[in-house]
Amino acid sequence: MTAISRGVAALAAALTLALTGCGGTPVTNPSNGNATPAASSASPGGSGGVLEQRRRSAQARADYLALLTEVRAALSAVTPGLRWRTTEPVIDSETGCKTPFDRVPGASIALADSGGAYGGIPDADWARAWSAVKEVAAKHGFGDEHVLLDRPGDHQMSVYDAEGAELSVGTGVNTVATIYGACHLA
Amino acid sequence: MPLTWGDILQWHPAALDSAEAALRAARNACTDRAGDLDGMATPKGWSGDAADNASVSLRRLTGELRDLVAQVSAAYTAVRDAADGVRGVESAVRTALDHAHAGEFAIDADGTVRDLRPQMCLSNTHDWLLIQQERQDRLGECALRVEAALRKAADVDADLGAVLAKILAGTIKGGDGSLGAAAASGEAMGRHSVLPPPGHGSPAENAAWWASLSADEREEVIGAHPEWIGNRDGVEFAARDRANRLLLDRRRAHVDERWAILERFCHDENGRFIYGNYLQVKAEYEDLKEERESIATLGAILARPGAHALLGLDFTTERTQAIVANGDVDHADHVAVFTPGLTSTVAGMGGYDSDMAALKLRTEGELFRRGEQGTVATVTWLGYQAPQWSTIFTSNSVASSGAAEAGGASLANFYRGINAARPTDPDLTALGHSYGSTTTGYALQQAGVDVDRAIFFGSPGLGTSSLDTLAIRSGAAYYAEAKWDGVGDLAAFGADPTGMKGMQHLQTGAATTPDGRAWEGIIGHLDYLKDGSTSQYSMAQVVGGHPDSAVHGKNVGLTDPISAQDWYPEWLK
Repeated sequence: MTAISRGVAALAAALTLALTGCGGTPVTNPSNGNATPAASSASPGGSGGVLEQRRRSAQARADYLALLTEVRAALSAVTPGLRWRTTEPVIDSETGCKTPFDRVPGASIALADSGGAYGGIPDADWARAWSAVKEVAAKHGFGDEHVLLDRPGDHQMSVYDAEGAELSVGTGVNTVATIYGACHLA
Repeated sequence: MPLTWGDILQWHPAALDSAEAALRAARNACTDRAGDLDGMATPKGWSGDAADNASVSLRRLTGELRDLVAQVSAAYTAVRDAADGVRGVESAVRTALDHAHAGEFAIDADGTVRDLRPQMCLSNTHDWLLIQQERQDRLGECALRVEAALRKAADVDADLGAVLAKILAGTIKGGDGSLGAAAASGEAMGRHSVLPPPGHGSPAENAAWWASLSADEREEVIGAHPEWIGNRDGVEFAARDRANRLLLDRRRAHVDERWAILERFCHDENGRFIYGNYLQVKAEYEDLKEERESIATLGAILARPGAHALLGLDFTTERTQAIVANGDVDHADHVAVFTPGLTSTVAGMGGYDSDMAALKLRTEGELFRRGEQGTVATVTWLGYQAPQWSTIFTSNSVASSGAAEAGGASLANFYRGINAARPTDPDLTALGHSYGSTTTGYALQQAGVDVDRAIFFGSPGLGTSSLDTLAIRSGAAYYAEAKWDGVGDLAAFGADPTGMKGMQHLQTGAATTPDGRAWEGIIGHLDYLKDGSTSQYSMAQVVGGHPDSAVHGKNVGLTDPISAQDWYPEWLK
């Protein structure tokens, strides 16, 4: 590449990046837990306003853990042989929010994990298990259903709430249930 | 006669521990005599020559006792620290043996390290050279650990010998104060200082040094010298995290203090901003503002639940640099290091941290669902001066490779440090986005990084036009480029990765995996780590060591190189 073409490429790079921005992962889909229809601005005021409408992060954490506890119970009721690795669900981590909320002071996302269970849910029981999960999830506002995988011996499905939080449940050799939370203020 | 590996294999602190206990008892017995000496003072009303002689004798006796107390105390401290030092030697020997065992090396009695693994034959020259290099590096690392153990042993031996020599020479004196003061003085003279880290040490040298410290010495380094290890690649990450948290607290206190002073200076009594005053202190004011925002972000990340760790922190650079982990990098089976690009700042690191936390959990979920127990740690590496819009016309411009090259050198050391700090290498994946992929590309052009796989996404170039220059095995470099991601077609720093020979391509459009799962497509430059996307799914597979389960395929556009177009004949590539 010549010096001139390198210069042109560099300028093009600058212009392209100027158009696209490059400061994090923006949110365009409710499935990532940060979505808001009007939240194209990253200004704390605008984004924070959307978050003000939501429950606080402590409440969200408690709700997620409560839901996972119910999910575990529902799955175990259908498949009593599941052996959960932890005595109860845990918050795996809590992190800052993605854009446009990444600079909102105190805003965070919680990732909650059921702990995972040794053992899979037999195909014959899966429909009942997933139905039971959806039933308890619905009580917590999760309803937008996405079937990711549904074949013999392998199932993975998600339901979303209005804030964009995802409850993902899957089974194969072992069984997992995880919530990728939405953004909330402290 | 210099110490040999065979000598220090026999070293144990038990004998020194016994001597330490005996010396402590002797010192206590001496200091307890302080009351007896007071009682021996000249009785009231006794005068004359005999009284004067008695007084002189008592003073002499007291002086001799003070010297004795100082000497016993010095010996006690020296032996105690030597015992601790021997524990460091034991630790160094143990980790050297662990490394030798894990790497299939033998350490002879004279300290020579031999490779026990038979030579591999590979038809691929690039991979063969890479494996040879890795073996050489591992062998060199093991030899460094042997050297560090011997250096530590020599240091312990010399320090103890020096104190004992001073005692024998009678140069340790108790002074004119109390017996307690004499004991304190002696203890100070007998104390060994912790062996400092090697200046400009390589990650392997740093790891060997860290391994040569006892548990107490490590605690001392973390508490008293956190700046020694906060950014020192090769030191165990849990210790770096603790050191950096201390440094963060210290810096916060300093910044808050200076900020309060400047704020007062820049505002009048009615709270109005005084622009003239601000101009006088503008440089420091803006620096402090940037640091305050960075500290706030890091503080928030570290305060939240989860296995967050601060693996690097640097306020000496123009913009704050930091390295943040999700998970236990010291022990995780799979480690991914993500390097972001243009406009990345520590203050804005929260989003990346969130992406990495989600990637960790999704990867672990994928592994567990398929019946594996693997643990995962993900790292956001911002240990370089990522270009900003404000620096576009400076040497730190996004249009220049300077920041990527300098950052690449640091990143390479971080990769090396991950492998050096652990007895067994993790399954290590490098992730680089945008300008961060260029930085990653430069890092992987360095020898000895021992990265298992690399994923570049939305890349303006890897700083090379050939994958042969990267220190990763054939077929282990992956590229993801979404539709309408113009950055990926710039080829500003070497060839467009879309057209690079040997590159594996990850699908970014909507896809159904062979197991029947449906994933969402992305467009543009910014969504590669989006939850539920094909690209995030594939990254989780690659990071978890199952690249065959990733969704392969590329989105070739009109702006991609001709050689990357579907219609271009294979034989011409």
